[in-house]
Amino acid sequence: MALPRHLKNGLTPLEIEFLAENELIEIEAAIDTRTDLELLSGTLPALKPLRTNKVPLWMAISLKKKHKCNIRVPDWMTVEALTRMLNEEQSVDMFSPLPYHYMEIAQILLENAMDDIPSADATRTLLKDLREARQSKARAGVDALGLTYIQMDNIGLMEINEIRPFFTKAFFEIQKLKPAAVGGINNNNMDNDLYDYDYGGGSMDGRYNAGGQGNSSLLADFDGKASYSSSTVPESSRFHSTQGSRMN
Amino acid sequence: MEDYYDIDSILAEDQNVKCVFQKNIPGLAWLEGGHDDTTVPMDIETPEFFGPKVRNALRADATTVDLTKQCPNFFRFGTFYLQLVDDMALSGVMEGAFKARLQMTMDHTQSGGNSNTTDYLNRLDETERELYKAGMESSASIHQWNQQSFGRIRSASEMLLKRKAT
Repeated sequence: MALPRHLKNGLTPLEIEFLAENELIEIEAAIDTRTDLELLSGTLPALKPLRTNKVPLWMAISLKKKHKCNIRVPDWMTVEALTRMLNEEQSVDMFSPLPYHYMEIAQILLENAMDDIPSADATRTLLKDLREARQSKARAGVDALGLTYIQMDNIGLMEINEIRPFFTKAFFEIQKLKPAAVGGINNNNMDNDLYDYDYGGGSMDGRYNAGGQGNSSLLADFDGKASYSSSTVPESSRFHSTQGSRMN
Repeated sequence: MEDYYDIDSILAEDQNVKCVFQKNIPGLAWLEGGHDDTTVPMDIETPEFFGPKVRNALRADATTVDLTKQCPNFFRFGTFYLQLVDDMALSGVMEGAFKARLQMTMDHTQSGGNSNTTDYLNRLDETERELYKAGMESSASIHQWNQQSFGRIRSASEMLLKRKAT
C-alpha cells in the first residue's frame, strides 16, 4: 500500500477520538424531544428534561454546545475514583481497569464541558499522573517482548496505538533474530499480521496481543511449522564458519 | 531471501564477506550448493564485527556499542549470515543485545527527542533507527493530539519560512 507511514501504523489519534465519540454517556437534557430519536446505530428513547438520558458522546457534546444539556461526569472520572485508581496503578503491576476509551473521553469532556466537571483541574492532573504511570508500565513491556505474544489487559486504545508501531516492529525483528531451530515467521505471514488488527472498540476489552487478530494464526505457525527452518538455504549447502583460518 | 523489493534488505546483502575456497573453481558463477557433494568447497570467515571483541562488548553492555561503526545493517545482515552459518552463540548474543538496546530506544522515543539523543542515535543500526522513527512519530502524534493542535487552522510551515526570508 502506498500510504504515508503515519497512516500505515494503524489509526491516527483523531480517528480514535472519532471512535470514542460513539460511547454512551449520561446527560440531563434541557429539552423535550417528544419522539424517540432514530439514529443509524439504533433508536434512542426520547430526551426528557430533569431526567438522565444515555446518549452517544458526540450528541452530548453537540447538545452541550447549544446549551441544551448538562453532562454527567462518568463514575470513573470523579476525583475520588481517579485517586483510588492512581493508588492502585502505582501499587499493582497490572493496568488498572479504566474504560477502553478513557483518554479520549476525558479529553473531549475536559475540552467541551469544563463547567460540568467539579474540580476539573484536579481531574486533569490526576489523569496526567495516571497516564504517566501507565506509560512506564507499557515501557516495561519491552522486556517481555520476544515471547510469542504479550498480554496487556485494560490498556486503552489510545495507549495501544501509541506503542503499536514500535512494538510490532520490534517484535518481528526479535522473531527474525531467533535461532532457526525455534522457527521463524516467514515473511508473507508477517506482512499480513501487521495490518490485521481488530480496530473495533466493541469486542476488545483493551487486550493487546502483539499480532492482534492474527495472533492465533501466529501461534499456530509456531507450533505447526516448528520444523520450518527460517533459512531458505538447503542444509546441504550450508557453509562452515571459520575464525581467521584464512590461508594465503 | 527476504522481501525481494525491500531496499534495506538489498543494502544489507551487499555486505562483503571473506571466503576461502577449498578447491579450484574455474569460471565461478553461481554459488548454489553442490548437488551430489554434501560439503561446499568453501569456508566463510566470520566478519570482524561478529568476532569475539564485538561479541564481548555486546554481552558486557550492549547499549554503548557503536553498531554503525561496525556494520550499518548489523542485525539485518546478522539474520542473513545466520541463515548460512550455524552459530548459536552469535544468535544468542544478537538477540540479547537487540533486546537490551530496545529498552533504551523506547525510552528515547518517549522522551520526545529533546534530551541529548544524537550521541545515542549515532550508535544505532539501521533496523533500530527505523524503530526509533516509528516510535517517535506515534508519540509525537499523540502529543500533538493532547495539545489540541489538530483541527486548528494554521499557516503552512512553508509560508512561515517565506515570511521570515522576506
